Amino acid sequence: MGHQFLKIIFFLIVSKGFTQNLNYDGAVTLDVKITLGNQNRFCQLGISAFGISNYHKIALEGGISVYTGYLFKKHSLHSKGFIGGYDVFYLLGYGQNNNLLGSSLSQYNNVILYDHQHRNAFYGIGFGFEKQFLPAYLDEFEQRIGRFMMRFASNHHSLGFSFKNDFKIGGLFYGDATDFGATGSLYINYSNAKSSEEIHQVGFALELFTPQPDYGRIANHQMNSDDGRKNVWHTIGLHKNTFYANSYLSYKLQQNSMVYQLNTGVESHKLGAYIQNKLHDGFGLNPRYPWNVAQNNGVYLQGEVQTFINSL
Amino acid sequence: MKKHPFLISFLVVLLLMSCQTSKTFYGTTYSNLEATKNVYRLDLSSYQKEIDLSEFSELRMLNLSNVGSLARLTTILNTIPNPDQLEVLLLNNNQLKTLPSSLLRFKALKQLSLHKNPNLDLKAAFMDLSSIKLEFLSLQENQLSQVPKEIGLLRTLKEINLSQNNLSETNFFDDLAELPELQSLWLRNNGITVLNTSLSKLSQLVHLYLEHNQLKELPNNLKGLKSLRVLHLSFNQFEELPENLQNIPKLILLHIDHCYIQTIPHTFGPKTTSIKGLVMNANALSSEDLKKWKLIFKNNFLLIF
Repeated sequence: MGHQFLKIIFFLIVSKGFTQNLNYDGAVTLDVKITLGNQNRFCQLGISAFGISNYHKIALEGGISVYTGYLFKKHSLHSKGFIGGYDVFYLLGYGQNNNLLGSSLSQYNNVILYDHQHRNAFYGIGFGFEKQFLPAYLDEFEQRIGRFMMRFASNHHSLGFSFKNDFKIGGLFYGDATDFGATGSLYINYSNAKSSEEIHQVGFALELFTPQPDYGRIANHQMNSDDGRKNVWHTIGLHKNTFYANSYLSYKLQQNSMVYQLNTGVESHKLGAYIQNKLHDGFGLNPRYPWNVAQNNGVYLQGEVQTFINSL
Repeated sequence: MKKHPFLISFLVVLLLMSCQTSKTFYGTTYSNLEATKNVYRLDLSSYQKEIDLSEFSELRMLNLSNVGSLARLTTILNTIPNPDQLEVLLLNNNQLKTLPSSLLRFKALKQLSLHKNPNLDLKAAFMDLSSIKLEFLSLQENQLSQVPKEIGLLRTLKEINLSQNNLSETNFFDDLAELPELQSLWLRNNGITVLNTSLSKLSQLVHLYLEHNQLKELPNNLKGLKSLRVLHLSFNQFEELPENLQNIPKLILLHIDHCYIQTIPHTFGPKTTSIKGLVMNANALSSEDLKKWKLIFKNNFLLIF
């Protein structure tokens, strides 16, 4: 299992008997975050830990976040209630990762850690998984989501790539093997740490969300079927008409103990259909999903404010 | 640094909106003749008035189902000023006996739907269509009990839907094997109890849909399905997961839900089959077996029991 990597990371971090070539570092963050957007509205209280270790040019890094909070809107659906969740990730790579910028890959925690005393390069790949517990009205979308990541960093620059999906591939890509809900996402972020107190990040994201397919019916929905040429699921569940595909740019500013993030972009069923159809038609994952391809595009807008303390 | 990602994002969206897929399938579908400019998709299946398409020069998709006689269809199709643009044509439920001769004007036609035309002379139709580079043909609900061997003339065909007919004999696989590009075959709702062993000759086939038949078993020689990745066998009569599914070398995704499967042969497992996505809910497995097989297939990318 991929989780063994985590054990290795923590073993290396806490190990006292290693040689002097072993470096390790880490920090813990406590934070409060408010998110307001046209698809999501919630507040959260969380704690995150991020650690690195390297031995010569072999480096490991990983993070874990747990949080709880109160929800007002999620996946464009209004619902009130308590939420909770966790997010775990780890990377193995070449180089040295002492400056802690790998923390920029945390999915929940917006706080980026930066230790300005180290200016090294790091190139790594890794995996992660996350799960969110939602109020009963939304609990059909509680699947565990798997994650594949890459990070390329030099000095105070870090470029991160994350692909998330609910599929399961071996023991490494650790989704729930369902193919619905937050079924596929892509995040590309560039972080630039000017100092420990001032960090900028720009990013691009794609997020796809679909309801549950109805396995009790033949996949002959007409919508998004290319006029009857392709198989398309009917959908089922309390939110069987909830689809979205967000394509947005993000900008994050971290200053002192505050983080501000703004995501702006489009919500487009056409885009969702185009991307998911390519995957489902080409890779053999058909049927498709009944995206309303005639629907006009909308605006996606979300802002986040976070305050934190950490152990650095 | 901030300007470039914004620019790229907008360019990506613009590109998607203007691409061919968008025009052919994602645009507004008009259902009357009031607008003529930038009309890419036109559905006249419920339109009752006179039809003249001489102003429609951008058509990519045209639905002329329920329009009526062959003579009327021929006239309408002849009015289209830019026939090389049309990619999708639906002529369902027109009581056709032969295809309109004007159909041959559409050299770029990729998709043709001929549902509910049970009197259509398929032999002649296939010969006519052989001059078009057709990729998809739908012949659903045509009361077919045979498929003329002239199907082999449609050399560019990638997908054919023969669902909801009476093709229980399935003695046409030899002819379909002649289609070098054929990737997808639909045979839903055909009352099939036994599949002809010549199925294995469809070495080019990638997707096979056999839902809502009366299958209890599969032919033994499935090794010949060398390219098959997706197999849908839902709503059949299987009482055991067919052991010979393991012989299909590249099968990735299997849908075999809503059958009567009580047992899965013990030979099944991640090492004996290439299946990585398995949908087999609504069968008759015991709760102990469900638990056992969920564990065995726990690393599948898709697993629905």
